[in-house]
Amino acid sequence: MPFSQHLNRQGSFPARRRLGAVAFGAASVLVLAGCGASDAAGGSDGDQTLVFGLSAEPATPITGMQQGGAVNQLLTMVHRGLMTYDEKGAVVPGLAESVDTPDPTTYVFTLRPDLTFHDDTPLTAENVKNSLDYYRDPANGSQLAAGLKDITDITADGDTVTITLAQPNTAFLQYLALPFAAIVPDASLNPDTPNWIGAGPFEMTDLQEGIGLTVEKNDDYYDADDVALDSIEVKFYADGEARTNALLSGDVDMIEYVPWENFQRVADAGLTVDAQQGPFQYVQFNVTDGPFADPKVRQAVAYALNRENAVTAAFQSNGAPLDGIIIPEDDPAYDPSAAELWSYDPEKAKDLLAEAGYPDGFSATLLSTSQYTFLQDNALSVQEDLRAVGIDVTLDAPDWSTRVSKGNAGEYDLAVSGDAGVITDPSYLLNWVVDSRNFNVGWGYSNDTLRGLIEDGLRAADDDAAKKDIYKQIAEIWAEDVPFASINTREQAYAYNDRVKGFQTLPGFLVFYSSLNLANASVE
Amino acid sequence: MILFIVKRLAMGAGLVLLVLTLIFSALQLVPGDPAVLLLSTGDGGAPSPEAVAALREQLGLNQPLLTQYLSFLSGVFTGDLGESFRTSQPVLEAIGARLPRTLLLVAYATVLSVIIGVAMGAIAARRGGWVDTLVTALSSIGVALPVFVFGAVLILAFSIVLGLFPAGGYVDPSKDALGAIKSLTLPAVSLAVGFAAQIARMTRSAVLEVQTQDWVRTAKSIGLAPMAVFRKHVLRNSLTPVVTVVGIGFGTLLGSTVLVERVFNYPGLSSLLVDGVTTRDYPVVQGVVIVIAMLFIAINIVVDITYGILDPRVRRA
Repeated sequence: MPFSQHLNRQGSFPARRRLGAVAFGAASVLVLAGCGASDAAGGSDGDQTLVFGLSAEPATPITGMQQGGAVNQLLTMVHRGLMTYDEKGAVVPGLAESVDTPDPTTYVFTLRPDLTFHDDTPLTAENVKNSLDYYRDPANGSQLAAGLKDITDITADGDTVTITLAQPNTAFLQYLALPFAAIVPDASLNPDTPNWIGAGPFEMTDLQEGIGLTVEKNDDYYDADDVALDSIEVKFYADGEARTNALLSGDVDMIEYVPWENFQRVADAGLTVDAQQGPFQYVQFNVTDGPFADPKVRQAVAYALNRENAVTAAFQSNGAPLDGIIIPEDDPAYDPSAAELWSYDPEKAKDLLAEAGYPDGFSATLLSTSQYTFLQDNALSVQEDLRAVGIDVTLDAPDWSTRVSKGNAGEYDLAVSGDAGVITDPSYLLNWVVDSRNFNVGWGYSNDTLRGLIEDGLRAADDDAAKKDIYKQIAEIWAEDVPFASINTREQAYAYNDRVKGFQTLPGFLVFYSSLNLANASVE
Repeated sequence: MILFIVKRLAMGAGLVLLVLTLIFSALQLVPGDPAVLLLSTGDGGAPSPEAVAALREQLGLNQPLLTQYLSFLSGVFTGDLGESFRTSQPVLEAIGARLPRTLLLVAYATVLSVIIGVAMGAIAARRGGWVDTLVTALSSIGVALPVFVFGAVLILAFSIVLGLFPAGGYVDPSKDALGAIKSLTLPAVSLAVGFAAQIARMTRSAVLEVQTQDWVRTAKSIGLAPMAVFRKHVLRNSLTPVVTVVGIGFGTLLGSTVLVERVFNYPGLSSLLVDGVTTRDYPVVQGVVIVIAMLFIAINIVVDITYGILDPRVRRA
């Protein structure tokens, strides 16, 4: 018996120890793996590499297509057009050295000397003509076709390009400055060639499936002496939380599209949150039949919205209520009253509903999406506000893809959407008054008077007072006819650590093209 | 045994065909037009009808359904899973890049789970008392803890506060082995925690049960060292059910990577699938689902065979 006890002791200790050792070993691997950590981002002094967290894995860029924010960020790095935006958002010459406007319908661009594309082929006036001809042809599916439709003729001669317009157009140069209006080699002018080759400050050198890509400084860029960064390492972070964590942990130096719920968290960590009020949210209407065909009912909705609540709910106050339409402050048409067409007045909303023949309200469906929580939160706020005035709203919040399909098919009474002008000229509003049957436009809505006035505004190239007067009329009609009932603007932000110097976001709608300013940034 | 394997493989092939048909039909039923989505991504304008029509033509979406289905099937059997609508990359190539990453993650998590789970389960069963109580409590928490919550906590603690591990991403092990281990560790641990807890519970109860068996008593009574008895007779026999749990768990882990890859921004197969679904990138979704279905079926066959090796009675049955 004592022998057996002895054995037992001898036997059980090693057994425990061995099992313990295995567990300890496993734990050690984890700890060791984490030790000896060098800083993930950054690197040695003087290394001008910025690590940038992009909000999506971008699709392969197609020349002229609007493919969303992530693709635009990349286009701003590798491409330049005849015009571009300066650090403050003003339109300035890009590949063009100068622009002459001998009369309001003629633009003469003189190209900078010795321009080349990333593939070292020269960039000629012919390339400019070919690119612009491609962009202005609607058959190519280019988003610029509408913006460039006034062009009647483009001629290339030596290092100058002359563009003739059918009529004056105050927004023309803004369209030429867009990241998807870049001058590209003729070989890229089709939907099958990835649109990577440009004449911008950076050149795409490495693309890693699902992970990221690298752009390196283009020494042949016309302004290469002022570009401090040697390279930008772009990493893809589709999830907003993962993107924020990457910034906070130092995996990346900079992110775009900061989720609103994280603004404070990022700022509290001592990082810069560089935000601009730009994109806006709105209620759109199916006006083909039913109550919303009546402008009075649309007005009722516009008066029923408690926009302060929506801003708090959807953006944690990182936004602002919007009671009308946005006209950028530096535009001649700017008039602050255009942003105050309606107010929060539920009683007035009820009166308007009664006038329209719905004293007891009615029921309606509200299309939104569960995929973008800010749109869903806005929709919930709208739902509550409308219930309060008697409109019994059923929420329909499918994934984004389904939402787009339903929007395109008009399968809704009301919808909550978010968007921004492609350019800052108030003519961006055209998108909401022309019935082009897509998910951006209120289903069935078109207004030829508004359309005509907006086009008049474009023609008022030399007369700021006339443009202002035109937009005054537009605002008055907008208040009565309510093509959409705006809810709020949202802050759109980039965030970065203190290694990053010299970067700033562009104002208003241009915020989405802020990566243009990476050409002026450096890292410490 | 060979007949058994052949039968299993044939059944597997049938299952794959069924999965192919199901996934093809399901994608047709889901609303959302890939062409429209490809041309409009939220914060920009809407695409022109001309562009949509041109893209539908290019993607073959205007073909009759049966034609699409047959060309899909024939593609699969000739090893051509098509091209991604979004990136134009061959689907097989995308899967080829992503699958090893996900398998690496799952393998790392499995190894961690087995080591920690078996060790904890065996210690709990052998020591009993408060150790047992503690392990049981921990494993209950481990099983109940959602991976994305645990992942978020790990990121907060080890990436943001302590700065020991990156908060996410992927490092190619062939280029930077240490960097790869570091970037894999937090996602693997968050994947492993629930699974390790399950293995610990299973090991614990199996050990407790096997310890009371006659052959253990016999082994003890003939004077074998208790450690030897434990190792040869208790632990080995306890591992049979554990192997099944590991096999099934491997599949579960594969499923859990959908969340983990999202939280840790890990560019594996699951994130490819999720992106494919949200962008209605049919060829990608079909390709990934086929591969996952094949993996599941393969895992089940491997589990059956391993089970047979560990317990000869299964082979005879």
